[in-house]
Amino acid sequence: MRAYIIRRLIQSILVIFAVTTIMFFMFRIVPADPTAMMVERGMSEEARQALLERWGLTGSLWDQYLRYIGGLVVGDFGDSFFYRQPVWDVLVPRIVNSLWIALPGLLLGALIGSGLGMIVGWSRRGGVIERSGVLGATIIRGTPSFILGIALLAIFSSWLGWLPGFGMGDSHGKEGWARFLQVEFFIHLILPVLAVIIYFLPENLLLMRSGVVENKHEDYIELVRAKGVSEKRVAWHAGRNSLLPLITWLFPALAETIAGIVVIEIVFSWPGIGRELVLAVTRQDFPLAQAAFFLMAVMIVLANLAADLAYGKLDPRVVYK
Amino acid sequence: MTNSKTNLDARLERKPSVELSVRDLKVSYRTRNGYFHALDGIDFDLQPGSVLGLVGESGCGKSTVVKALMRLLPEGTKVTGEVKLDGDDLLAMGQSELRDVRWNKISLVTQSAMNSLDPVVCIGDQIVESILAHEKVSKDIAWERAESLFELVGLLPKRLHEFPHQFSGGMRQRAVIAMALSLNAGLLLADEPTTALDPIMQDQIMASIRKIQEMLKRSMILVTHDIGLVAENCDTVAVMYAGKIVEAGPVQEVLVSPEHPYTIGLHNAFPRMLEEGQERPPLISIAGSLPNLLDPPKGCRFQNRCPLASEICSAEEPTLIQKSNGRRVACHHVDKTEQFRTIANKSETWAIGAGDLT
Amino acid sequence: MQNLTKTTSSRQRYSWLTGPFQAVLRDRFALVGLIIIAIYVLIAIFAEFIATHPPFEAALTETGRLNRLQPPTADHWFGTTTFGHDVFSQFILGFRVALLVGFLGAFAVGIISTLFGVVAGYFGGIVDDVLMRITDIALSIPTLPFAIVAVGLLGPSINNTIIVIVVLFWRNGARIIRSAVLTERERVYVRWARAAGASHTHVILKHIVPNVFRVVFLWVTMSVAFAILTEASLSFIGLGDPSTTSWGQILNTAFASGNLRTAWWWVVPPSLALVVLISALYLVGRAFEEYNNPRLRGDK
Repeated sequence: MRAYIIRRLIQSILVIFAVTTIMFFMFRIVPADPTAMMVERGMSEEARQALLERWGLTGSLWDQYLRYIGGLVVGDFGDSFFYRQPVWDVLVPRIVNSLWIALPGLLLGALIGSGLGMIVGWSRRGGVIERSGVLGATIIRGTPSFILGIALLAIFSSWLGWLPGFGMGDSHGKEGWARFLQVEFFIHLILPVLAVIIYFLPENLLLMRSGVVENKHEDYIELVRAKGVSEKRVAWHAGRNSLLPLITWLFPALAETIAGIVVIEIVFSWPGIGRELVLAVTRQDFPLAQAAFFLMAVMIVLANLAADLAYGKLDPRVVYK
Repeated sequence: MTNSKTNLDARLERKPSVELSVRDLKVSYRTRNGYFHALDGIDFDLQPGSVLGLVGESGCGKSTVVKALMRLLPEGTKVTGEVKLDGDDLLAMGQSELRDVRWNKISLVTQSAMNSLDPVVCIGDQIVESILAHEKVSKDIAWERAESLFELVGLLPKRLHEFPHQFSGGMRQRAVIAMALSLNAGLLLADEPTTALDPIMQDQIMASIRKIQEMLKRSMILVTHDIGLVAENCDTVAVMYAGKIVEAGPVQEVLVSPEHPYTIGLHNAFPRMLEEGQERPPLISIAGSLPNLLDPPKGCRFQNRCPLASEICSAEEPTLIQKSNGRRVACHHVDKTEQFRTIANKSETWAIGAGDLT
Repeated sequence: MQNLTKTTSSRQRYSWLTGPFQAVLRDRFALVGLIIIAIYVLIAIFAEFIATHPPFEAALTETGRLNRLQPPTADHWFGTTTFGHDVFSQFILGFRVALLVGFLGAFAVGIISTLFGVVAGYFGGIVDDVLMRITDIALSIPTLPFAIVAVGLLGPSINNTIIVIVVLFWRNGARIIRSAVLTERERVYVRWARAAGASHTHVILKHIVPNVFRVVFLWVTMSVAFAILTEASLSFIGLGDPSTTSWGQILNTAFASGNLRTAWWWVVPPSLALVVLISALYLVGRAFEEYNNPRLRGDK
């Protein structure tokens, strides 16, 4: 077990390394002259050199690459062109903001989605619950996240006027955790989190339903029913078995889900890492964009690792080698 | 620890075995092409503590009988007739009554133990689940019961903690039997309990079932396509063909001197031990196939494969005639069986188009 | 015997092609989806004739002022934008962009993933190892952030959007098709064909490709939806081709100009068009999925 985890960790690090490398060269090779975008016009040659040096843009591409990787290893992402401060300082609060909407949204979306999927899968085939459940989930799944966000904004913010749909609210001068422990913040949190839930829910529902439909005709389900246990308990067995494919899908799906959250952050002007990435790209603030992208890739790799380990916990047939 | 009997064990041991009576049971499955008449008027009785063998080739409806008795038929299936379990009509029961009866009065040993256990729940928990569904006892008591059941079927109690994939086929089958015994149900349905196993394992499992049956004196229905198993394990036998019982009666009588042409053919289709000096007869296969049960033919259902078939067979359906010695047989030509038996062990007799032997 | 095989084969020879379609026609939801897609295709083809105004023509009022944010009228069926552009015309031309990106992207994804999937699955060995390592890495790249960065670097245009879509979605397809090929390769008849001296090309074209075709079909259908979704998201973020009028772009303009909350006539049509189209594609995809997975059909 420990050997397996160590091997998976090494694998993950290699994957992250590969992604970082691809990213680095994409940023350096694709634009015609990277320095031209980063250096202000009308600057003296010495000042230009000093800037280039500060941002690690001197020397051959290979030197730059080595310096960049060396920096990453010690947690140095360089400085943001736009904010003129270390990228890390810019990103940390953004990541925290993103987690505020991502974690509850994804968790609730998965729970509610798989719960509804159970019900839809267990309901009579071709019946009203089954058909409307599948159709409804498919339509919501077919709704791009920004349209979902716009619809929520239109209904709850513009039309009903119940909830704010812009930003995180006034900080009232508070910093750190105190900033988040305010009623105003939570009111601002509702709509974006709701958008993430609705966005993440249908795939969980459909996958859980497929699993239950596949399992409910298995022999073991018949025997469980023959034992005279409650129908709820029978459904539990089908659900428990359907959890396995759901888990294998769930964590890697976060890669796609992050994409949806980026757009949701933009719609609700939520100052998260996704919105920052888009801003950095449009501002051509490459150190920042590169770091934001890197962190997202790390999250996905970690999620995959978590999926493997969770699967091992849930499926007794898995043997770690 | 397992030797000390709990109250639960003692209470369950006193459970009487069940009397079963089935009258005119008809089952039709709904399919895309209409109703498939899997069972068409099945009648039989099972005395408490006795073993009935239900025998026939695959597709004859014997597993449907089990599913109907367990009320496990798919939604939309038409079921009519009467199934009396100690006088209570099983087919008329509501869901909660049915849950009470299942496993308490009827339990099931399934056909393929391979897939009949939940792969992600440990076996002990699956057995405990069945006990807790019916008895108000603590989980520890139920687990103790599971341990003694494992010992009874010849498995180590500590393996209750393991999962189905860690068991071999034979062990899984034993675990399924242990589970079927968990509430000492009065009627045990064993649906091809050894089909998926190799011959040596088959013998071991059947020996174990026999031993348990003798000890617990449960009523039992053994569903199989193997006449040999019926001969060894059953008191009475019912031979099924295309959704009907064609012959039934005490095992010694029916298997020693079968009267229905199908039983005679089936009898010759299995290798058996020979008496001293007896010549080995060839193994016979009955040519042809089952009639289409979406639209059953008029008359006798065996007519297209029967060497004795005549006009009356395609015009009129033979009824199951009750005979004096507890035997029943459904054939228009019962009077000719004596003479038929002598030629039935020749394969030419069974070739399609062998013509009328009447 | 000869006759028997001839008569069955004439009907079954193309079953790998007709099977998936029959599956779609049998499923009522999928049929509705298919009809919707067909209507979309028709609108896209005749978009120029349907559109009532040039998409970027600024409408003027009688007094010569910019006719901006005009609710629907007889002249402007879906009203005008904040720049006085005709929403209906932009909306209709959006059909063309969406389907062009969707079909072109999915077509390229289908070809590339089939090629890689079949080669890796059939020949195995180093090709397979390399492919699997590449997809391992590629699967750790967050899709939309990658698209944002790539389009940001390459410059926003329809071509770049399609390229990014292909780069993003071929990997999952190749993986899925590869595993389908792996099971197909081990089938008895394939091994017989090999043993009987059939060439690799023959085996691949005659036995492998037709049998994994249903998987390809499923993946291509889903890719159309993914491609349209990606293009819409990119455009909404502001990384769309500035010279076209895609639905995401229309919504971006509405959003960026701050009129999202008032100009419903500007927002609702492109939103609905996107939701309906992607849902329709998913409905068709679902029918393929059930066709591919008999355990889901539930009829025994």
